[in-house]
Amino acid sequence: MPEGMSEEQHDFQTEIAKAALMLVRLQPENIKDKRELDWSHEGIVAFSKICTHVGCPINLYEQQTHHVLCPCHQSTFDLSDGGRVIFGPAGHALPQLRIRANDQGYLEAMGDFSEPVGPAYWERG
Amino acid sequence: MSTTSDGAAQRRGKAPAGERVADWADGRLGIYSLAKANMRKIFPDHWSFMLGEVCLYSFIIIILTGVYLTLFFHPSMAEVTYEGPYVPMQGVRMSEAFQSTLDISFEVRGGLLIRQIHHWAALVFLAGMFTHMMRVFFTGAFRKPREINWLFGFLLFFLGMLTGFTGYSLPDDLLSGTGLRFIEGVFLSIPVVGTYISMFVFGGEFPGTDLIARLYPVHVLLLPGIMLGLLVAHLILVFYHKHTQYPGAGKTEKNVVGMPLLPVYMAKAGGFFFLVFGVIAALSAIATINPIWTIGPYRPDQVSTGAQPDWYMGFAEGLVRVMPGWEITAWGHTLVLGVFIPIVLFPLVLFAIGLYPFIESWITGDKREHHILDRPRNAPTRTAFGVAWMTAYFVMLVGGGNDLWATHFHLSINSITWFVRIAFFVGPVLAFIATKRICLGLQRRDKDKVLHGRETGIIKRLPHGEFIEVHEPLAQEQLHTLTQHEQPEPYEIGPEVDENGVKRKIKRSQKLRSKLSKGYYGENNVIPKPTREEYHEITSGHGHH
Ligand code: HEM
Ligand code: FES
Repeated sequence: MPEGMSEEQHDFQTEIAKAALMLVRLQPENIKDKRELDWSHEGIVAFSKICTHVGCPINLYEQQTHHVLCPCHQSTFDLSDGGRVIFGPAGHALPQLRIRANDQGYLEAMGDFSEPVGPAYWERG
Repeated sequence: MSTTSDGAAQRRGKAPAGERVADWADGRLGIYSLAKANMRKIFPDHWSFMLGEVCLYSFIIIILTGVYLTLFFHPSMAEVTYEGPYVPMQGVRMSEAFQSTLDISFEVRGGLLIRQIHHWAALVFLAGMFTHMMRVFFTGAFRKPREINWLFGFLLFFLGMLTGFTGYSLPDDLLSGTGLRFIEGVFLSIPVVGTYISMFVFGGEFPGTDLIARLYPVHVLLLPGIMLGLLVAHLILVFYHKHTQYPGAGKTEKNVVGMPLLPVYMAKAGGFFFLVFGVIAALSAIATINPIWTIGPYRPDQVSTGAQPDWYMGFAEGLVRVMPGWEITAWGHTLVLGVFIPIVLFPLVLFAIGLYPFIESWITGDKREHHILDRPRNAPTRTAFGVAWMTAYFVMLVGGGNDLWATHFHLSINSITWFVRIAFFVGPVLAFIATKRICLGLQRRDKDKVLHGRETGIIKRLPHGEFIEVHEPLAQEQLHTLTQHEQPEPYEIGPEVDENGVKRKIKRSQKLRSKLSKGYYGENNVIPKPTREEYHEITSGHGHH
């Protein structure tokens, strides 16, 4: 959960609708995408959990293939290849969040997502 | 004067109470002449005419149970922590809408049953409308003068889907919230104005805190109100046009053969209402529907697998699921075709059947009134179109449940999706061809039966040893039923040059119409029905076989 966010705050639902995140540990040598590797920490990668099709939270991860499947309309993304769409109706890759470990060894984000999360829209460009 | 009338009243005694009430009402409402005109109105009978009744009765049941639900439902997205009697949910954060639905289910007397009846009746209502619409379609009951009433019915079906969807969204559970998120994505995909519409509808960013309170009046007042108006208009028109009837001996375009409204039809219909209510109540008592307490409240970062909308949304769901994810980005803008195309196709496919009556009457040029129904085989092109349409519809229902097909039948989701993508285009074409051939085959068989009689299955040995099957000539009524239909000529454009050899101007639409008309009535699209001469030649004199 982003810092300072709590279930009690009034816009929690609206915030979590954008901020939901998936953290997955891969073998660094399995990561095919160079930027993905740069933005990971020892094989741990963080991707937006909000499907780029119409915004369901994605929840079916297959460990062997590193694929995640969205339960709503079965878009499938490859988490070892920059979150690329490999099947289904989604139109673009899952946004990745750049992370590192801080001094105390906790993972932390190095800023916000670099592109809008969730479904595409006219002004997205 | 007063004495004489007093005397007359005295002699006859006082009229019975019922009669006096009736007199009172007649003096103010004119019920006698109304009753006289309508009580003995004749309704023809056929099992397929009860499909419309199923719709009417389930609508009444929905309204009655819906009113009860409004007494306890709180359309609010304010967050609360559950402290009610259902232990697994205690301490869980949820919206008031969700909490009140839990309360309806666990604390309100009869609440769960009423909720279940409301939801089951909605499913039956839409299934009823779908089948009723197909009955009207395949029998050609939509032809003049009933085109407007067909449109009313079609709108009821369309609005019924919207009403069902808004109702489904009210409890604010994990499934319905996921459905609303989908709606957000749909809005966002609309070019140029998408984000504005989404912000407007949700009152800000998704999910916001306004939506349930906004959906509520739409679901309980606006849509049902419009539907009630349409429904009444629909029934008035049925009454006004008089009911259609299937062809048969003694039935003409100018009469109606059947039973009187009172008492026969009213008794049957009244009984049937309770039958429908009984079946829906039994379903609701036995089969759980939408158990929101196991699904849980909506949170945008949670979801369950195997999520399915109500059946009538399956067609839209299928389109959305099997569409490839096309996105075009250019000049700083994104065109989200992967979502936009399906949601445009959805109403387009539906309206293709909704507007069909007008298309058919343009093609055939038939402007006469029709009160005798078509036997579907005698309108092969229409029947084939209807079956093709249904094929597309059902293929998409499969697409809408592709995950369930995959898990239940151990198939690959990718191959199912590809199957649906192809079958959506190929399936209707194959269905069209097959249906048309079957219809023509049935026409041939009708012709054969008329000319050579019915096969009796009795084998007779002739004196010289030959075996023949005895054919029995049809009764006069059956002959009528099999030969009463008309076989119009296709629309002709006429010669391309006029009598002076000057080329006539022929509009493109005329050419198209003539082509389509041949598809309806041209050679190879109808089997000429037996003529009187053919019949007499075969049946007169020599015993035939
Ligand atoms: C005309 C067709 C209608 C359809 C197809 C329809 C359908 C539905 C459906 C599918 C639900 C979800 C129920 C569930 O929780 O499982 C629902 C909920 C609800 N409906 Fe309707 N409905 C209709 C008309 C009405 C009317 C006329 C009223 C009120 C006068 C009404 C009041 C409600 C209320 C208060 C709820 C939420 C309560 C709950 O879910 O327990 N509905 N409706
Ligand atoms: S929302 Fe994920 S596939 Fe549609």
